Amino acid sequence: MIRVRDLQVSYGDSVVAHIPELDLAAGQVLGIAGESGSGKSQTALALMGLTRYAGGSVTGSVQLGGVELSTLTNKQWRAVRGRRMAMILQSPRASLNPTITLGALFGRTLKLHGVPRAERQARMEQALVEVVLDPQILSRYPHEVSGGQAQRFAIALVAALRVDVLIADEPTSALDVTVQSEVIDVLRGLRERHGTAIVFISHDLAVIGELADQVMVMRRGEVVEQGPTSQILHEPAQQYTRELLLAVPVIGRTR
Amino acid sequence: MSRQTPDLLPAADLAGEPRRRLSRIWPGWGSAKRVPLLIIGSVLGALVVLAGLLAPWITPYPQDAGAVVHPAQTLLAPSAAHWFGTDMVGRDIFTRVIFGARVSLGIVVLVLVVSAVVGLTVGLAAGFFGGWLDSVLMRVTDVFLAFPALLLSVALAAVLSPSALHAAMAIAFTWWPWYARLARGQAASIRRQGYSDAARVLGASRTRQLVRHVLPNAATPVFVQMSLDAAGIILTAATLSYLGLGAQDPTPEWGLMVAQGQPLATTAWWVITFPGFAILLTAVAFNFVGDGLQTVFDPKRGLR
Amino acid sequence: MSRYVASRVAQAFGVVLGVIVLTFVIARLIPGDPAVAYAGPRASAEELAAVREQFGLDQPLWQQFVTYITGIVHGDLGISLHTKQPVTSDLIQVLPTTLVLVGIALVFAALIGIPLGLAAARSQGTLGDLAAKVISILMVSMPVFWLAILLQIVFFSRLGWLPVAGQYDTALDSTSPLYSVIGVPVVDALLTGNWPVFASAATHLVLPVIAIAAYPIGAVAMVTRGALLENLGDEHIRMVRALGFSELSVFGRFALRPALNPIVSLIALVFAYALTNSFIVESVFNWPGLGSYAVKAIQTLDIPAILGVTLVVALLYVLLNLIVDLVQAIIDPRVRA
Repeated sequence: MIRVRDLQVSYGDSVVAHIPELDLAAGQVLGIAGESGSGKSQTALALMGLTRYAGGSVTGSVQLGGVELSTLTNKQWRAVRGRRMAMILQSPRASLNPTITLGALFGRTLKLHGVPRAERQARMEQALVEVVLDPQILSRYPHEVSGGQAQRFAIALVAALRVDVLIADEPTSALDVTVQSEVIDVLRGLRERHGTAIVFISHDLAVIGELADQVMVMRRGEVVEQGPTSQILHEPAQQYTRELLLAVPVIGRTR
Repeated sequence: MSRQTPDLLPAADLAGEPRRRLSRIWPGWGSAKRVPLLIIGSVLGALVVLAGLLAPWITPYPQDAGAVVHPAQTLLAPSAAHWFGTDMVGRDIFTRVIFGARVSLGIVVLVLVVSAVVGLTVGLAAGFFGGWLDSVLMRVTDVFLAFPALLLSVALAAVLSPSALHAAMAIAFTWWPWYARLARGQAASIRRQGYSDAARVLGASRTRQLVRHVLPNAATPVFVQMSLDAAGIILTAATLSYLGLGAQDPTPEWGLMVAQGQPLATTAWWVITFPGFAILLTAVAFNFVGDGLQTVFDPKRGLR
Repeated sequence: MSRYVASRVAQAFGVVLGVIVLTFVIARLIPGDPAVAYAGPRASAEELAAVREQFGLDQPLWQQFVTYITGIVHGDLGISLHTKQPVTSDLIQVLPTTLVLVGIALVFAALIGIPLGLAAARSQGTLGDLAAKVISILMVSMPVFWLAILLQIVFFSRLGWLPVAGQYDTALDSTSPLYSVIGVPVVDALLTGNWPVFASAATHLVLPVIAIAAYPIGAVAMVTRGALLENLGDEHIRMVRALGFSELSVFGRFALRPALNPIVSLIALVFAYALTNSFIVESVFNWPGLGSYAVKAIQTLDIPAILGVTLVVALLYVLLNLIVDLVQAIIDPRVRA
């Protein structure tokens, strides 16, 4: 589904992420692990084609279902984002516009992607059921819901759009442990029901282990180690990965 | 207008490799296209200050700053002898504009010092001691802020006898509440952050804590605010003088010079043009510096 | 929401009370002996005593305050020294003209300033952004009295394009007489369909509106830019981009709306600024509004009129701030929480 070759993200003269090779099949989950500043979030932005809005630039090749993304125009990108690929972010409530209700955002997004008015309500409700949310949440504002609810809502939004690939950038880091596992369950359900491929980014290898089929470990913009989850978790080849495994999970900010 | 407290970056970050490091935090920095305004503003501001300080030595007719009359050379157009022309009693306008920098900068300094001292005292007292004192002081501040600043200055200056000093007092009277609010916010947050916990453990008195620990921390954002406010004070002072509520003839005050030249504006354009331009230039210089400092200290809020 | 409204209204009442006290203090305590100001420096002792009695200045201070506040509650602001009319009726007469002038200027400022700020934020860090910033700073650094005079020199004296003073060409009174509705020619002409006068009044508005709008345009552009940029770094903007929304939607819809609050609160401030600047602009362009009235009051040291103007403008400002708070609560649900 996704095929990356020699992807390099840079801001001015400094390279913040470099991925020599990465392949992800439909229905698969790839975990990207690393500390803050390891370049994992920058990788996520690059996959979504959003690097330019942060002031950086990208070289190399990213293909989605055989289509080369690196040469797309802004307009062509908009047909990819939200339709074939979507993204959820670290601070669930901050990632929802504070001035509109969840329902308004949901409705506008479905409208943007051509879902007929008559179908929208049913789609929203169905998606909310999948993530175990009461449809009444649609009349609420982001500050009126919990972090876990907001993150599940974001996943419902993605599910209703029926994208092929979901990029989840630290989706559980800002949440309590119990809420974390709810979100992981919901993501697992998304993959099983719709065959969505997921790029799951976290500083916490234990969380990645619950979901990922393969894992990529990054440090200072470079890939340290890459392989099947069981191998990385149980027989890490690199000292850095072992340190990461030993590290007490710290809930912190990542850029 | 939001008077935000800037989050100060450590000086080392600015000195070291600013472009590299800051571009990570804030990519726009890399283009470095915002700094020119700070430089231009500083140069302009320095020129105005120098002009004011050196006025007696760099002006061609220093005596024209006072009450002299040259009946033979009234309203001469700009020429080599009189770069900016002469006014209705024949005084050299270039000389008066340069001397005007002294008056305007003097008012700015006076207003800033008075309002910062009063504002800091009130704000620090409110923020540091809290409780009923805080409530009372802040309600008083609210009342002052309920008036449009220029209007309150005008009203006060109008009931006082007109002079540059009274105009400065009238402006300071409306300016201090902003500093009070700023300082209170700082003092309260510093108190919460426990910056002075160590000092308290060591048994320092409250006043000593206030002077040694709270005051220096509150001072930095106040300085940023002062540079932003200087432009507003220049404009307010000029407006008061224009209305006849500030400096009086023969003081070479820019606003007053515009007011005096107004009846002749259509025939002798130079009488109002150069003093007005001096006001604009000085206000622009202070605004450039203020905006630049804001950008350096708090990149995200480059402009208010 | 209703609790929020109630608390804001209560707060505003407290501030109004403070405003009244402060104007009283300015009037009675600062200038020394108000009787001298009334009767003039050469007045005899008997004249001064008469003035003191007439205005209750021989009463204890607290009693004077009670009289003052009772007067305000009954709409009595005293007698103007230069018009010899009650200040209240003077103000009612001049206020509409000024509010129309300032209102038009502010609408104009928003129509220019907000798009300018949007464009600057859109091209952050480019030369265009820098140019927008320099223009904005020039606008807020402009001494308004100087700008007004320069506009007159250039557009009237030199180019002869626009009229120099007044509200409309009174020569039109014989051909198309104007019927007063609210006493403001441009509005009256519009309401009564008097197009010749309306056209004349509109051209008379151009220069004063530009002079008053200069500062608001610059301020609105800067605040719009700043508020947008503050939002553009937020995760919710990244989110809507990742959902495939166009940049037009990202800016015009998702970034502008949370950015509106600083802009709305700026409007109250800018209104106060524009209203005070209208003092100067009106007297330069000879508009019979609040500004000209205030400037004449200042020139004649007409203390009751000066304080009446101050009080009324401050009350308008408090009222506008209250409205701003309520509008903000509607725009951004977080405010009322």
